[in-house]
Amino acid sequence: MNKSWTDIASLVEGYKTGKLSPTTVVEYYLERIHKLNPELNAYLTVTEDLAKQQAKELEKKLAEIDSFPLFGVPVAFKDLYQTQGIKTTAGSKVLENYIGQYNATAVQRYIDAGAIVLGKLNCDAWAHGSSGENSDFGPTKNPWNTQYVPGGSSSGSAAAVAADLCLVAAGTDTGGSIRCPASFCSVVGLKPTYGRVSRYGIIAMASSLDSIGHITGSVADSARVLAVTAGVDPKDATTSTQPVPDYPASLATSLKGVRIGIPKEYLRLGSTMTEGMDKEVEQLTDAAIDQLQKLGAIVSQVSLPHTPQSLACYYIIQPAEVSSNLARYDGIRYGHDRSAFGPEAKRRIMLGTYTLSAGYYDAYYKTAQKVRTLVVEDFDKAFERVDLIVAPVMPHLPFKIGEKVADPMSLYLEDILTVPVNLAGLPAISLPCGFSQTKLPVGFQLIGPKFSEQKLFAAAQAYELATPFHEQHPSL
Amino acid sequence: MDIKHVASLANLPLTAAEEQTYSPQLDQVLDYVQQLQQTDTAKVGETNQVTGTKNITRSDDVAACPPLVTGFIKVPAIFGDE
Repeated sequence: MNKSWTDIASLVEGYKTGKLSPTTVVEYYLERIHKLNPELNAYLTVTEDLAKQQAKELEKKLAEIDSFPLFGVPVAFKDLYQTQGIKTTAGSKVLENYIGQYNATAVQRYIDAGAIVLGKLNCDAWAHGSSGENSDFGPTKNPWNTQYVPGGSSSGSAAAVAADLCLVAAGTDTGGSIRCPASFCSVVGLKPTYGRVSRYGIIAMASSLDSIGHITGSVADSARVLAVTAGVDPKDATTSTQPVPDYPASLATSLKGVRIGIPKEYLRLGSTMTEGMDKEVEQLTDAAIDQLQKLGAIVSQVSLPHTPQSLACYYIIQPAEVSSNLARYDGIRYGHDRSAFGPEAKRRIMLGTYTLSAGYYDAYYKTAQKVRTLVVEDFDKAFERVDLIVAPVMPHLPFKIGEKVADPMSLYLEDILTVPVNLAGLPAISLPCGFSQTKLPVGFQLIGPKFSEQKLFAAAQAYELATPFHEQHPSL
Repeated sequence: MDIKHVASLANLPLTAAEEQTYSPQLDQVLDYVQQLQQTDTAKVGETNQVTGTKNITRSDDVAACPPLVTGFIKVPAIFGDE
């Protein structure tokens, strides 16, 4: 069939005018999944029967379409999201046969809003990684060039949206796991404010950092989805009681008067941090900043002086929380015993166990918690002067599958531009900003103060409307 | 890092080959994170959560409690007559 929709709005319009039915849309995506997934490995589970059944049920509710904000929208979930009656593996052999016992709050909200579940998406096991290669079920391939990684840990989520194997993909971002793959696959990735979306039922990585977001093809879709997933949940005491604004209504076309800061520590980081930023990444980010200026933004430099320490801080706090959260997989309650953990999970469990152990706790964990305060204060000070901060997402281009697996530390260093946001609990959105000469995608991020998603969407939408990158798709 | 000791604390069964692979990798990460020692944190408080909320509890509603008799909860008898 010829695809007549490009986003949620045009899909819903197609349903309303009778040009489309949920069943034909489901068939379109299932056909693409069957054709392309064997190569891309984005889906771990395809819920074909459920999707068809949901489509049929929605067809009876067509008269009530306006009361379902995601009516007939085909979604897929990172395999960290617990789904009732559907395998939920977290990308790990430990849970290879685990069937979800209930729906995560976010999953239930998608379904209640009328979304159709196409399946579960590949990811780095337990969300540990920034390449997708740590999945125990094989790496996901980048749809723009299948020899390259799609980024991680929400690898399947970004690849599935980029390859048009679903319209919306749910992900999680603990240290960049939504923004990194979104930038590597030229799609839109939202990491909401910590506590904006419930974590209940989503397999925990590092509980004080985990943020529940999504990947879409456009900013408008991202806003529509957050309007559904955001909000307080009695089952997650860290969710905020702040009212959920009408996100889709906050979209804008101009940036007149918006103050945007460039952290001087982020661009030209220097050789000790990231072996220097890739020239093309820097040029494309500069071009994006120029575009923001053309749209009316007032751009100035800001300073986040504890950026260099933030990565070290993250690689203490995160493995500490990982080691605690993964302690429950003891072989008694869930599937396999602890020998089934992959190398990256084992490394992080040991790092966390070590830094939390008697005699080392003060030197590592407690110090990291103090440095975390300094990172938070850096952002607080910067946001006294600017409304938003702009930065690259990843310091380098997507790399070849297998290129960095032998050197975990080199991969950790790639997180330098994403983890400060998680330490401070801020919202950020990753947007496509062009391609390298080798045709590999590059993204940049806008970062805002807590609960400033409206501002982020407005600025992101203005940028998206003025640039052509979101309209380009990989040839598959 | 004494990898055998840490693996036993973490209840992770490691093979000798795994110990050999992970040991230098973990030492490299620990070397890197050591840099935090140089940050002056003497007067800095700790951040363990960034929600801005505290003491989130549900109301302590005991309406579903069985009837009370002089401070004791009345429940069906569990001993028979015999």
